[in-house]
Amino acid sequence: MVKSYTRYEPTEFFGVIASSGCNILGQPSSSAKSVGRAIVGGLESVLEWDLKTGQLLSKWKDSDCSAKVTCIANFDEMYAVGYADGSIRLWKDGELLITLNGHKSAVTTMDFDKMGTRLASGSMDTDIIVWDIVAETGLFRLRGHKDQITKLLFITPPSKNTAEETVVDTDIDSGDMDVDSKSSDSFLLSVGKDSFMKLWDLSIQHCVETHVDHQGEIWAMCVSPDAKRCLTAGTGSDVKVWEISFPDDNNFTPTTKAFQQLGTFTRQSRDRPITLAYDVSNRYVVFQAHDRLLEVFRLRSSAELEKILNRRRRRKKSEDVSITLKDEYEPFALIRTTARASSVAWIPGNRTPTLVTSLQNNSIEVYALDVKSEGSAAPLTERASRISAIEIPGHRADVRTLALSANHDVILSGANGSLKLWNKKTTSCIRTIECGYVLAASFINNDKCIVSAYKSGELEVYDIASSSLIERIQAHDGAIWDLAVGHDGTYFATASADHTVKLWSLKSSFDFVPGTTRKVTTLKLEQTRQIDFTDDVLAVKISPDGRFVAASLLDNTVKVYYLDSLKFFLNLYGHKLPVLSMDISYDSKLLVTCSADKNVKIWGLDFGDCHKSIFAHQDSIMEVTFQPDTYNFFTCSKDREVRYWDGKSFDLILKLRGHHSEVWALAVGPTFVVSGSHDHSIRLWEQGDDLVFLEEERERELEEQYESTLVSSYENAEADGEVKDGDVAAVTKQTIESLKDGEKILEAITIGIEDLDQEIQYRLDLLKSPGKARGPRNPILAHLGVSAEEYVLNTFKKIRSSHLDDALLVLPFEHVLSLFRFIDIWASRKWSIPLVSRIIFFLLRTYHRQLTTTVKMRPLLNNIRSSLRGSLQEERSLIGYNAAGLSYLRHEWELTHNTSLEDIDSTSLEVDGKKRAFSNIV
Amino acid sequence: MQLHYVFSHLQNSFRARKSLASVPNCNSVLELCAVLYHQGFLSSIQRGDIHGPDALPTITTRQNVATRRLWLGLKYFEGKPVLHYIRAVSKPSRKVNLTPSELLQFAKGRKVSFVNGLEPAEVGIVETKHGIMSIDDAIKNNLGGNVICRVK
Repeated sequence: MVKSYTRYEPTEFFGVIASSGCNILGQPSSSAKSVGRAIVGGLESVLEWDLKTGQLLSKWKDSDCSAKVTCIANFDEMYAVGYADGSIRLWKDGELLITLNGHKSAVTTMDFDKMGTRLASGSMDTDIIVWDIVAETGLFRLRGHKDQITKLLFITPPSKNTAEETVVDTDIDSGDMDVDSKSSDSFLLSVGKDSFMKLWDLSIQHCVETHVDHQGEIWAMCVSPDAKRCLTAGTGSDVKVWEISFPDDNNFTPTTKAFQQLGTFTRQSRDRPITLAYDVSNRYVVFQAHDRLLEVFRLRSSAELEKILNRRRRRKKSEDVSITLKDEYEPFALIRTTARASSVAWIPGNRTPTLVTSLQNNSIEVYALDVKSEGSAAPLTERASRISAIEIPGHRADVRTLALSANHDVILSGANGSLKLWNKKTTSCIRTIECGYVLAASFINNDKCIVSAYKSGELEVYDIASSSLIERIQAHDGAIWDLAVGHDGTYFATASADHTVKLWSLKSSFDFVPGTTRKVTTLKLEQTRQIDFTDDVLAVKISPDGRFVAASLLDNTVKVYYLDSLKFFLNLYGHKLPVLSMDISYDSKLLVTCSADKNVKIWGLDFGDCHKSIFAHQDSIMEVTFQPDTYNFFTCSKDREVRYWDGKSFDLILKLRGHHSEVWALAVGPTFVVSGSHDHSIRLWEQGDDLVFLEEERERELEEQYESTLVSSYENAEADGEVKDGDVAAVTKQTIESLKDGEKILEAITIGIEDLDQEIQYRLDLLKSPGKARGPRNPILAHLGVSAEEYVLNTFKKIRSSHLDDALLVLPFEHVLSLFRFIDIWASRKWSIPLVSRIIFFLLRTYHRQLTTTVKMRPLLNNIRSSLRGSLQEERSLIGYNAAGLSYLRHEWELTHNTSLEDIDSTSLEVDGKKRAFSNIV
Repeated sequence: MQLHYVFSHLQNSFRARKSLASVPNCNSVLELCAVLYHQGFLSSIQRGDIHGPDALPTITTRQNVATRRLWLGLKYFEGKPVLHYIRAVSKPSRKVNLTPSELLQFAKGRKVSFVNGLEPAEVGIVETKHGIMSIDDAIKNNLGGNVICRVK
């Protein structure tokens, strides 16, 4: 019988409010009471927070994606989310609409156009891709930048608005279908770390203007809402201001420029800029850099500028005065946040201008500008106030320790500055205790109290019910690295950097309430015994039967003592670096140690022999814990993995991947594991229904490795082919799904062609000798009861739209020729004309040269052209009829609606009984 | 007081697998039991009377001094006694008084005058002018005295 284990699956993660490295979006709230909502990336999910109540409204997570969120853009309530693996997902109302794959590395910036039908995305791989949201495809790839794209914006020339409307009216009258392309004619502005600012004409798909005025990298860029001004910021302390004026007919010549640099104004911060954003009212600009300062500039109106000009003329007694950009962009407010900010955004829809900012210490803050302080003498730092913050659902620093209560319902987490209690089922924060730098913490006294150990050497006892401090003791002279609670919960041991292990017990004592003679019972810590060492003690553990205490020293050894007499028992040596954590099994027979030398050793506690040494991780192993009542244990490491091991057969059972940073802490319950990490997250892994067999696990890992090798080899082949291309390229990226879809198409075409040839042969034979029996068909087609062309078309329908182009690229050329025979049949029978049009358009564009040189394809292509043209004309006339019909129906509905209103008014007047009443004539 | 009765009584109680044993209540017996407790042979020491340990703290008076006893918690591991034997070294017929240097030789396992040295894992108990203590403490404090027993 092969041994089986239960699989652990990731169920939840909590403790993250806002990840650094992702921008934040501010949205108005649906209720009138709230300030607004914040949409922010939290590791691999997107979090929506209510900024007034601090509640998590929704959490958007795709189970297929494990990469971090790097970028968010929105069009009303549709959100495009870019991830660190280059994929883009569109979310609406918490549901995943589309997954778009095209970039090779992390997406850094995205923007929707004015109608919300196109999305432009920029990436670290220097490419810009324009996506069609409706058709779920990538339109084209723009190349020209040499480094990471930092900002992308769609720009519509404002001077053509009137002309566009006229053209649109004319087109509608003439019945043409070119309305979309003309009205959405626009430009794309991009800046990158290569100090280029480029303007792309999306109709001709080329760069029409490039500016290299910045000396270094361009990190931030924004355009005013009226599309007249553009601000860019680089590594210097100046912000460049550009005037945007497009040529009249949008024809660019080498001497014509749309962007003219007007000058610069100075900012206070010297750090790298991150965000530049105009307010929707076009009166304020916020500037945010890589520090704790937010600078808000106010744009002076023309009346104020005229007043300044007149004052200067009066003082200088001459007409030779001018307005500088420093006058136009006045510093209005300085906001100093509590921690380094990672992103800032305006919240639209508020009466006062409101900013929401995400900080790098895992919190969100909301600031409101005091508009009344315009023109007053208030200092810049007092013109904005912090109105709310979200801090409760996460730690400010990384999670250093985790503990579970006795009934495994409450999770205790400790970090630098806070202790938090979490409900395991709802993953909400129950209690928050502000304290010092927690290195170890645990539940004591039957889950009524918490004891926490600090880096300053202090011990504190907190009451859980009242969140109050019971006692504080200066226990050690150095940092307390570890804390081990005894088997009955009434005593514990502390390990410290001052070369001692101290044993403590809980004692109740009677104290008088100050000022009265009433006695109350309080809990006190009492030190009972002490073991002195010659080195720092890094870890301590008490065996479950209360017989041994084990201490790990800085000299790479573990020493085991009898707990009652503190006599020396064993010295376990063999690790090459200090042991960071250890655990003793439930029956006190096995001791497992993990070390900074990436090894896990299993020792017998009867004689001190080493049963097994395992090279467990790729980096230092931070914690090891036995599963209760078993010999299996979990390890967590700096290589971001939690692993599950069998302590009897010394096998690796599972790798739990999901963390994005070093895993510091681990706590194991009977059916679940909790792990805490440097990325502020606490992850919950629970036992599922699946069984794990070690052989299957090894085979699955090999298969995943083979698939990733295949995808990377495709990417290398694409990279070789792309060197010769120019500015514009197709949007393709092979993933596992597109490769599988390509294989499905390949298989379907192979089966279908064989059956089609059989059918043709059968028809020819039927002419010669009637009554001949039909040969055996393919089992799949016979079972489904469909013809070959029907089967191939159904296979194409099942493929997702966004994968269709990538799947067609996988086909060899002879299969493409076979596919054209099916396209001929589909076109003549008018099956799925949109899908067939898309397939043939892509194939003709990709294989144009090969197809034109193949002689036997010409009759087939002529047949396809004639039948497809007839079908398209039919489709177009149908759409035209429906549009006209809808206009007529709308007209009829309006007449009926007005008549109904008039009747209602007459009825209400009669009921009122008024004699001289005014009647509404609609 | 002669402690030989205590030695035999403790040894017999361990062999009979008792959980508690009672010994007379006097200072020399108390000091001996404290040494055994610190060396890990006993789990607890309690005051009591001839019936059992005290439920409430009781003061020893002239009226009840005859009924006072010390109750010792005996310790076992995996079904075997922690204390295998406790054997007298100094007897009424022949006293063994050793100087500090002789105690050091005795603790190292060498034969001193006519007494064999301590075996590995054996604990010697010495009666000095500062009280009854283990042989390690006597050597550490440079004290000599009467070796009363060896315990393993």
